[in-house]
Amino acid sequence: MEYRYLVAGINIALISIIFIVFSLLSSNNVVLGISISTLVLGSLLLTIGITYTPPLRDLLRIYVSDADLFINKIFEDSGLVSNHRFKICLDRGLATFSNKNIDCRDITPGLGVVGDTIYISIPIKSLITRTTSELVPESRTELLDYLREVLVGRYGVCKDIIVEEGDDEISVELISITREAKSLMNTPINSIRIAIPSIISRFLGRSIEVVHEEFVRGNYIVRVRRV
Amino acid sequence: MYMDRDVLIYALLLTMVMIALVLVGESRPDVYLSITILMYFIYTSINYSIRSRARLRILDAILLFVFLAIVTYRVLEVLRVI
Repeated sequence: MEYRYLVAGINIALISIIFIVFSLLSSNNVVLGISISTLVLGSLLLTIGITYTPPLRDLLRIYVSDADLFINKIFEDSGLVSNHRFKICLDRGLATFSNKNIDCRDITPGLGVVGDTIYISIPIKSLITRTTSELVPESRTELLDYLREVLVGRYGVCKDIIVEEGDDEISVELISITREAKSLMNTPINSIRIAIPSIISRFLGRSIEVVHEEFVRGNYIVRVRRV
Repeated sequence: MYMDRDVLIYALLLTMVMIALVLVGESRPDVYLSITILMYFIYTSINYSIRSRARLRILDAILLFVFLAIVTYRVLEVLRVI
């Protein structure tokens, strides 16, 4: 959505409607014709404002789709696609997938082996610093408000959030994942699946492990455990 | 940036055409509207940048319907059906 065009479109449409009413009352066909034509211009600006997509985002979306295929191929070859443990190592700035439990201190970015444990760790430093630069967790915000601000308000991943906090686990349900976000979730390992727990981990200020994920009727549920 | 320029060009073209129609003394409102709709389709077809950045299908459908209604009305008027 582009607010400049939206505001301009609404203004032009309102002014032209006023002139249409005026021309009908004063029976002036020339003003009526010009006002209706201006209404078309206002409608065009309104439509552009509502449906606008920035050009660079298309290029990035294409690249992310290809990058996801590449990452998933690596996961397939390492045997981690279907059976893995998923952990966010906050201090190391890494999202880690491994076949067994692994200590964050033993992990380095990329593909590796610790003992008999295979892991793939993806750097997430930019992800966790950029998404939170304007909203610092220390400002006494609740997790729900924070996730709404970031995932709903700023990035439009979903329409709403439900958070249930237990002693050890936190369940986050993303209500009505948007079409754009859903288009990025076509592969087992995808950017949305990595971004959500990373953002949660950054808010909590500690590493977490993802214990459960599921997609139910357009809602995405992720349950995490503090480690 | 390019979108701003393209929208501005369309608005200027529209203004020029409206002024021309006023100067020739055109007083039928549907002429103004049908010329505007034609200009919209021609301009957004020649300059594809607006269409590539915004989804205009619904607006296309509405304007096409209005244009067809205007043309149908005028044809029926000429044929003295109405």
